[in-house]
Amino acid sequence: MNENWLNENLCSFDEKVRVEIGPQIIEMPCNDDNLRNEVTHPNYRKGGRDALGRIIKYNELTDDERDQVDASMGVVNDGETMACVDWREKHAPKLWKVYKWVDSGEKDKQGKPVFRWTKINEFVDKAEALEFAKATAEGMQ
Amino acid sequence: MPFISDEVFDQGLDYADTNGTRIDINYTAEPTNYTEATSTNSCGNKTGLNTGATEPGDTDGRKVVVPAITDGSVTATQTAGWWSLTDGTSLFIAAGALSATQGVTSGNTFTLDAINITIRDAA
Repeated sequence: MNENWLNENLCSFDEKVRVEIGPQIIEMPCNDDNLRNEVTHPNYRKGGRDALGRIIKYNELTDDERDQVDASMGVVNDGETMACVDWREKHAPKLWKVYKWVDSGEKDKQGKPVFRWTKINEFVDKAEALEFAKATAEGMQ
Repeated sequence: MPFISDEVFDQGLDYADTNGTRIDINYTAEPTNYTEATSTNSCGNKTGLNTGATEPGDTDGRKVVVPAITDGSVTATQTAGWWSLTDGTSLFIAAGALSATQGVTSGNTFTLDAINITIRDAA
């Protein structure tokens, strides 16, 4: 089993399984307190989009403001649950995320299957993530 | 803090200038790392980018500009909501929301306006 660190954040096991650290996408109530820059990234603001693409506080936008946003991925109204990437680990630790190289079920323009790295697990502990990834890769041999 | 030399900002932005050679458009969720940016949540990409040199920011601070794209390759039929800048090998450099989502079709090309990556002056 070839364990190859591409950089300090990303490790590949024979290009079948990968481990990469990243922030968590957390859920929290959509309200003025949680939209403060001290709590969530400044990109998360009224009229902006949450981490799932939904327009934040759509119910509080004026008609003119609604005309200027793209709500095709949905909306999050005041008091509902929004999703935010916790880039600076203010609320939750970064995780070591484990991905497997699998057929996505999609086809390319030649009709061939499209493979993607698909997340299969995540760990706070780096060693646990690596152990899981290695076992998964060995099982794919 | 009343003053930080432009050189401090520029050496940070030089990292994006030097390494930022691939841009992906992303769907479903905001990507959180290189793997998600370039595979898990990618529905198209453009490689061989030449990000511009550092220059003054629009309001303050310093910025680099990722040039507009007219011929990105769409790899999945999805609705793109984010962009991500990487080195195309392993480094996740920057990401953000598109100003408007784009419905894209596999096999077609996508376009993007130029993107500013800015480090604002300290408050």
